[in-house]
Amino acid sequence: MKELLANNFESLPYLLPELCLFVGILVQFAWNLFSKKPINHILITAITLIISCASLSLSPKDEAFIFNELLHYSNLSFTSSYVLLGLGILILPIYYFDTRVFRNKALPEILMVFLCLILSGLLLIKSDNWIVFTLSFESIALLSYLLFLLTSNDTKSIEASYKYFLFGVVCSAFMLLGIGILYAITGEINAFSSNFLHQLSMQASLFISLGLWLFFIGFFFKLSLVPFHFWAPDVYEAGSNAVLTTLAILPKFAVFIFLFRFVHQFSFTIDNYPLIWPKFDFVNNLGFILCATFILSNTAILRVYSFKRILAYAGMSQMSFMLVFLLIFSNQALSFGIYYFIAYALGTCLVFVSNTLLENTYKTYHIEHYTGLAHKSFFVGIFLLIGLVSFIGLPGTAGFIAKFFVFSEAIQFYSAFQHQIVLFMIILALIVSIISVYYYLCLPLAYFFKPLPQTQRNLAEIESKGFYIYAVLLSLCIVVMGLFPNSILNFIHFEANPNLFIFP
Amino acid sequence: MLSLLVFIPLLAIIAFVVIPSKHKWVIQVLSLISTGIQLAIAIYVFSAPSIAHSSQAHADFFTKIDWISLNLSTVEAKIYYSLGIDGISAPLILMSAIVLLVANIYSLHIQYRVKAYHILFQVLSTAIMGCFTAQDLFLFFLFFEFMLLPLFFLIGIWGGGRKEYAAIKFFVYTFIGSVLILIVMAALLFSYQDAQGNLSLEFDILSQLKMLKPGSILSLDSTLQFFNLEVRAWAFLLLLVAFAIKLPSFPFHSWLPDAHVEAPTPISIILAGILLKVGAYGIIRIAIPIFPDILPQFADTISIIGAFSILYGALNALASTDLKRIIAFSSVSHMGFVFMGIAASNLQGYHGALFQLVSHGFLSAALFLVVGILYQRTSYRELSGYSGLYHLMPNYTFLTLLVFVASIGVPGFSAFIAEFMVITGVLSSGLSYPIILSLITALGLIFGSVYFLRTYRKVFMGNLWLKESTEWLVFLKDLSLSEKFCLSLLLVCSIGLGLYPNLIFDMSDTALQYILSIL
Repeated sequence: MKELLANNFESLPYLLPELCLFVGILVQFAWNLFSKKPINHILITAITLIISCASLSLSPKDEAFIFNELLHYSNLSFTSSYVLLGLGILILPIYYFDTRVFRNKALPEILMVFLCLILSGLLLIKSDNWIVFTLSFESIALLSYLLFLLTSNDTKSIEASYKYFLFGVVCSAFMLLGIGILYAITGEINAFSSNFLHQLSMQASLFISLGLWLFFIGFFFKLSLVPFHFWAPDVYEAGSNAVLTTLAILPKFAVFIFLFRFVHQFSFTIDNYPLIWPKFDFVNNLGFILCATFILSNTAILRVYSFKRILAYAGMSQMSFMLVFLLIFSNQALSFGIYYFIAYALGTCLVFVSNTLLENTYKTYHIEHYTGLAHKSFFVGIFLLIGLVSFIGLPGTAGFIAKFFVFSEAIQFYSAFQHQIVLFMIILALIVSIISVYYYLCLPLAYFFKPLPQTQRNLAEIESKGFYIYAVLLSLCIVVMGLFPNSILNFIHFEANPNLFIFP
Repeated sequence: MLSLLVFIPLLAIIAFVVIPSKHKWVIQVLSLISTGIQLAIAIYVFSAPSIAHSSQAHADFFTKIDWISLNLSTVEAKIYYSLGIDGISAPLILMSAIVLLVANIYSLHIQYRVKAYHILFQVLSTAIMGCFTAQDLFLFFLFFEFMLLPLFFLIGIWGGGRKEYAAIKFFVYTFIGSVLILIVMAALLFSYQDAQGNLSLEFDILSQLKMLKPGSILSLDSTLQFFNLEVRAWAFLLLLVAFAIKLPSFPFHSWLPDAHVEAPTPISIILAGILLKVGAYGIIRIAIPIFPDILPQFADTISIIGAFSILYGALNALASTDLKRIIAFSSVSHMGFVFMGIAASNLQGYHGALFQLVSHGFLSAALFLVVGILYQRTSYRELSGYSGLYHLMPNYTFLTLLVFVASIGVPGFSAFIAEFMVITGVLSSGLSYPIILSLITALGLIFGSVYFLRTYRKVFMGNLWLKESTEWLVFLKDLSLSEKFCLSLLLVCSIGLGLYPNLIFDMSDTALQYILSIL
């Protein structure tokens, strides 16, 4: 008993950022009793995030299994905590620009939920154990619903939030069942121990497939992959921009990293080329889902005329590009995957923040509402365009390098293993990249090329210095990442098999 | 020096951003100065005697800086910022600089959103110069795609009629080409090693088969096949299609008439004069040197497509009644010669193809200028609207006659030399049907003279008749000084090259010989 306690106390320094976040949430709660001034709450959140980001650099730099192997502290968790907190700081200004959230009476609560979401994300990234995993995963899910519900103010968004909640609960139930099966057949509570793999290898393929498939359902829901994507378009359509940016980035990032860790433990490096665990065909099973997402998201999008719905499908499409790295069991796949995610996050932030201002001022919703707005607010459109161009993957933007990595890694993987599905995916990705030009550009087409309708001649111009500073910063990040990818890649570079990350 | 050539426009852009948009003429003058400096550098570079001895392996004015290094666990992939020129790119750079200057002078007519227009224009000229000077495939691709977005906006905002349709069609078509290049580039990244064992995408490395990494997807012993075609052949075909879209060649040409017709005149000039050449330059610089072993398999196909493009473009031009459309299709027809010259795979063929690129650069720019001058005055482009313009605009009529005659391929003008070289190249090549191909080509040339002369007779000869006589009589004034200057400059270049073709032949001989030595 004594030993256990000692370990727990020794483990605390590894959780400095989490502790900082926790304190920050308490401060926010206390401050809420004294002041209702929204800007102060946003400042407190920002300070909390910055302090916890700074505290990360103070925490120890060695690999450790903390709290009796509940959590695994490694180079990967260290780096991805940085990224997660950084993304949090990146998203926060949108809460200031989005009047629907900023003028909301529940803003302090919304921000608290936002911080809690990051906290659970940090835990999910580190979790090594089914129990901690389930706890943090479920709290991410619940906090996401809460965040969405707190900002719902009309029937449409309440309807969407029900859909989100019910669908999420069902998927979570399936995932729990999957975890149950995996636990039952292995008898191992730790999802990353060698014993887990060993025990799993001795079971019949049927159980393994059933367990893993059910387990993955929860992830597919969170990452909105076909056929568990139904919630995404409705939620996107009804949600407020700030919350949507959060939902599109933070939970997905944490889930993305965990999925990488989990799947890549099934590969073993031999002669630089990894050998994949033969009992469950990850490449074909997950590849099938990705192909379905590629096809469906890019066909459904063509008949959609609400900009936010387009963004929902675009997010699905981007996510399937990112997850191609999941199937490529190479050493650099994870760092390229994170690179893609950061590129995606920057683009998403830029698009959503520009859309926020347009929505605030012009009540835009349908693509037609954007017609000719360039005559009123030219530069907002330019920033929107930069984000969309990064999604398309034109050179000079972060999205291009990311797409280049997808293709080069996939081709390399195909030439080594010759999985037909990877070839199919490459061809699909190629076609999708071309189709995507059409739907990403249909908004700039209306925005810049068409004349302003007569009825809208007396609209106001958007003037917000804060927005311009924020948008210019984001655009600079996108361009710098696109022209000098080493600036980020050196930071997210990992050695060897993802599960054996070591500090350089 | 080359970095200056490429990035001077970016300096101009920084200046534009500072200048308030109400000072239109300051922006226009600055833009002209920037293009003028580019031309001066291009002339300086062109006149360097060392160019004649340069080739892909020994590029002149070479600069190389480490840019991106990717750590791929066991190997490192290095991408360089490397610029350089040789005998192939030098004439194209000079031609581009001249055409850019002409387009910039003609842009003075554009009065709507001048600042934004010139910013996009300068981005475009950076991308063009970058394309012709890049010595690393990654860098080339960056510049290659950088052209898309400015053009998309230049067509979409300043274009006419169905501009949105034309802009998106142009973007999607050329983006297909870009994605195909991207795929091949992704495969190439893992296939070539430089002397230090680093993966590299430099042109110099890519053009040496001995640099292939054994066991990689594009290596010569790779057994991968799709539909009975090896991977290298697929990669070559993808590159070929990608550049053929840009060129454009039948059956990938359908974006061109729309984009050309709807684009504002200066942009049509750049599109036809320069951008089509980038496609052909890509084939000569990238597709052939990287896959010299594959070219013979497809030489016949390429030559047939080229011949068909010549005929098809000419017939379409014959059937069109819109002046810009006629000229757009004549571009398709003329670019077919480039394909034929490349397929011939001998020195005459290559010389002819390169010469055609330069010559057509000047002539197509002049042709679009001719139409633009008329369109700017009346906003009407149909043949049926005009007759007997000679009586109103004698100078214009005379210069147009020269431009048309030069485009038909009359001796003394540059197009004649190019077409002659291509046909001799085809006749002395190892292609399967050299005689039939040259006959088709000759037929295309005859049709060419028919549609040009028919247009000339309809619009300029005969009695004066205008569709809306009272209004147009006021607008249809003879050429202004700047218009005269632009047209004469392009014509002088064409006549100069026609009378002294060795200017380019001597310069590009070593570089083309080098490519032939790879084959």
